[in-house]
Amino acid sequence: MKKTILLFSFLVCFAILPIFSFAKEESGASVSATIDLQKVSNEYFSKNDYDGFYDSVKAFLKKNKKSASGYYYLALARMSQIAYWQKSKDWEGVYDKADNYKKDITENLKIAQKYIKNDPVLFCDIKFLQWQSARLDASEDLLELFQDFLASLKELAPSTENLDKIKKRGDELSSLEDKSMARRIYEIYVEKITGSSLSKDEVKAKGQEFLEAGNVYLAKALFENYLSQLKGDEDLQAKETVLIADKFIHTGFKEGVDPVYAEALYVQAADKNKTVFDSDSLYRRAYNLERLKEFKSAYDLYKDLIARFSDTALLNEINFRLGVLSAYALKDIDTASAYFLKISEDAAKGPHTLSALYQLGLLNQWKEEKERAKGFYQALLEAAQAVGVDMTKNELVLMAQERLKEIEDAKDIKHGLKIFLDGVLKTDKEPNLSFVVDLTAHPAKAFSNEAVKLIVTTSNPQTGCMMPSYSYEWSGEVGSMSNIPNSPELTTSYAEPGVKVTHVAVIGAQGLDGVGFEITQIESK
Amino acid sequence: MKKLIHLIIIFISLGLCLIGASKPSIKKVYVKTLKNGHYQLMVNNRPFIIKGICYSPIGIGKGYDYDFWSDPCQPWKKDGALMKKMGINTVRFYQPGENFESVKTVVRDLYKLYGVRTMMGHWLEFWNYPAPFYDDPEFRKKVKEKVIIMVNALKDEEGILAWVLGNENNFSFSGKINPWSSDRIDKLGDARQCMLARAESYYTLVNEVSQEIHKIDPNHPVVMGNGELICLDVANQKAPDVDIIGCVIYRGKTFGNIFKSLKATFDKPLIFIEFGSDAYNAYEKNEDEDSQAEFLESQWAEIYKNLAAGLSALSKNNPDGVGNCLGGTMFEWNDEWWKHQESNGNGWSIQDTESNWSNGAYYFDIKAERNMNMNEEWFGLIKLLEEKDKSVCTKTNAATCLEGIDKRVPRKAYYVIREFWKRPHEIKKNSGKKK
Repeated sequence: MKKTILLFSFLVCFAILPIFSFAKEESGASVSATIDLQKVSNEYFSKNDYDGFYDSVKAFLKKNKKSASGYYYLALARMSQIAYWQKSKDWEGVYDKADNYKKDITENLKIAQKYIKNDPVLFCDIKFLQWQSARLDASEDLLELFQDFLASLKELAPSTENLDKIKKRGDELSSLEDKSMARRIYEIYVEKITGSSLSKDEVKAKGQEFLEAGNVYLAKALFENYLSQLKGDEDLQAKETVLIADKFIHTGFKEGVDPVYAEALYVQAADKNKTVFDSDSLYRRAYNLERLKEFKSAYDLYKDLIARFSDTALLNEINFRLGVLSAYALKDIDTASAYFLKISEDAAKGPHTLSALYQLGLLNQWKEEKERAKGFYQALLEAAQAVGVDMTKNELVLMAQERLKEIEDAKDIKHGLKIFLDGVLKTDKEPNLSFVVDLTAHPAKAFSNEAVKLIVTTSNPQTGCMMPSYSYEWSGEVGSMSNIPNSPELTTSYAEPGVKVTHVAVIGAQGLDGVGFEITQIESK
Repeated sequence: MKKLIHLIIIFISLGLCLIGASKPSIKKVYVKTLKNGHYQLMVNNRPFIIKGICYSPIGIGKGYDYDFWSDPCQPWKKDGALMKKMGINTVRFYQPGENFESVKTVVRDLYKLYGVRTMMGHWLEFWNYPAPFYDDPEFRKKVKEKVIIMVNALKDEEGILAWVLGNENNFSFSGKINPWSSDRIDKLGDARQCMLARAESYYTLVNEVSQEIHKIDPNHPVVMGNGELICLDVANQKAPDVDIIGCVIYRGKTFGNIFKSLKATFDKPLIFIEFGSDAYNAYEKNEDEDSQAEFLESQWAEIYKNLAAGLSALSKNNPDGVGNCLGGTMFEWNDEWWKHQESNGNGWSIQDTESNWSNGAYYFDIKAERNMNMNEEWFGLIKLLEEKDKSVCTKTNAATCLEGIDKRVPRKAYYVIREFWKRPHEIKKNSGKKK
């Protein structure tokens, strides 16, 4: 009896085994095949053997005739071959051989879609490949196919694995410079992530993580999502908005991640609560605007800062910036002089005192008020001695001495400096400047003796591929560079701390074409 | 009597044959104005779209003084074959070489062997040293004489399509580029008045030269080269005898409103005698074939949309089409490694990546330092390799063509434009086709 039962059991097992196998082929084939084929594809693709992989998949499909993933991988092999031709700039491949491959991709994806069952991940991959294939010919239904792909992504469950997959697709498009399309995918990623179990602080942390990884778009999206979750507590929202804006500003030492975006966030915060800014954050915002060359807005904020926080430790520095912006950006000598005077009258003498006295001397000398100018230059020399600077090397001291000599010898201010001042300050007869000059220091804040590169950029007149020849007259604080080149670039360094003001005048065949200035801050190490 | 008639017929036939054999028949090239006001270039009485390229095959290590016209390796033959494959039907030369016999050989070879016609240019002594004194009667006389010598020498070549006078000479009117003037002009004082006076002086000269050309060569139109549309309102008054306006345009992917603007300013047919994109990304500091191809394809789509309505489905289906464009010559066939610092011979063997000029319309690399993003040595649809192609050394030139020529490698744009010409199509915004 036992034997009979055993034999029966054995026969039953044998009988149902094919049924199980068949069931696996029908329902689970695509899953198991995906894993295997992916592994095999990696091996072939690493050797750029796309045809070899294609043949292997063909062999696999002989035994797995209804494998959706098999057909998907056939299409992928063809697409990868075309991508490889593109990458290796094999244009004959792309433009002479690829047409048949494209047809093959279309056909295989159609079959894959016919056989697919309950596999949303593979479905996404198919949709992605369909869209990629359409991109090759910029076909009519491109947008529709991209929408289909996005819809397939939306169907994915918010598991960690799927989130990674979505992000990977976004990164892929971002690296291909399809930024706007990458953003659509990142939007889905953000939707999924917020639909997951992450707390708002975790969302913020994730934003920080992406910011550090250089994925600015995703970082912004997550930060904004975090801020939106603070709705209801306007003060906290304003405070956090300022803190997030701070992450994107131009600090001077480093170019900002997105200074314009930072300012937009500051505006949002100010709309909610103006008092959310303390003196430090007001300074950061004003400085960010200064770096954006939004001089009037920067000026207004610096002014607001000292009005609200008159005891700020940065008072002299801010007054100096206000003075420089008044003179060279807003062309208001009287207001500039008032700021410089405030600094010079401060009992505590420092680098800003010398800078302010030099500017006072210079503005007066340019106005032909030579006795007043002389007084400021002499005051500078006295103050320099008092604070103990090296009278033989300090740039401001040397420049003041040079200006004093000009006054004593009844000479004009030296040529390069004079044409800059004329270009900026002359109001009686508007100078006929033909273009805007931008002078920018890289970095704008540096430590003593570190290299600073000053670069002139101009808006050019229409001259096609023929660039006019220009002379570049540099003046002001040019640092350690002794032989100033006639060039739109100047690399220098500054030994002593302080806020340095450098000027440039750009001269073309018809005379002065434009002027620019830059404020560089040097700090002690 | 019958014999006499036969003899007469034989003599007449022989005479006709001899006339035919002594000179190839020159078929007239002219611009036809259609009923709808559109313009069409006619060659052998058939419409002709200029699918052209600026051609200056200066190889690696060679400079402005290299006379490619008499190069025994005959680079134009290699290039002509590649041009034919791509679909190019016209080349533009900026100026002929000094030996007109060599020039004729090149023009003839390109046309007879590859069907490529020639738009022959003349600088109008713009690069004369010390300056092109266009306001000076003696200088004007010299310019006219030189152009007439060129036209007389080449007008009977079958391959000639048109004459191009000047390039971007009008950029000198502002006094910022290659400045020139005269006492008469300087006395005007005001900068704008001086500019207009220079424009009047120059365009009057171009008109006089055009009139002279028409007298001796009624078979080929005269194109006036101009940078952008600058001062064409003056040309409208002073240069009515030019047949076509040849614009040098670098406006990025699009030509903007140029078709309509030209129609309103100076209603003449338009050829883009220079346009395109460089293939170097000055911001990322690497070769960028994708951007070059993308920009050129977009530019050609605009050209096709503004051809005469019957010439292309794109122009036919474009309700905003102006129909005044005859085609264009892209800048340029091959990279020229000598251009960055042209007077420094040491640099001719190095492909410089330092930019010479800035243009914000080429947005892909405008963030380069000082916005200097246009790389003059990287405009070729063909890149040159230092490796030599000796297939040009044949039995007939073996003694003189020893090294061969630089190997040519077509860039992506070569294929993209080839495909565009086969199937002209609209370029969709954000097609995502870039890479």
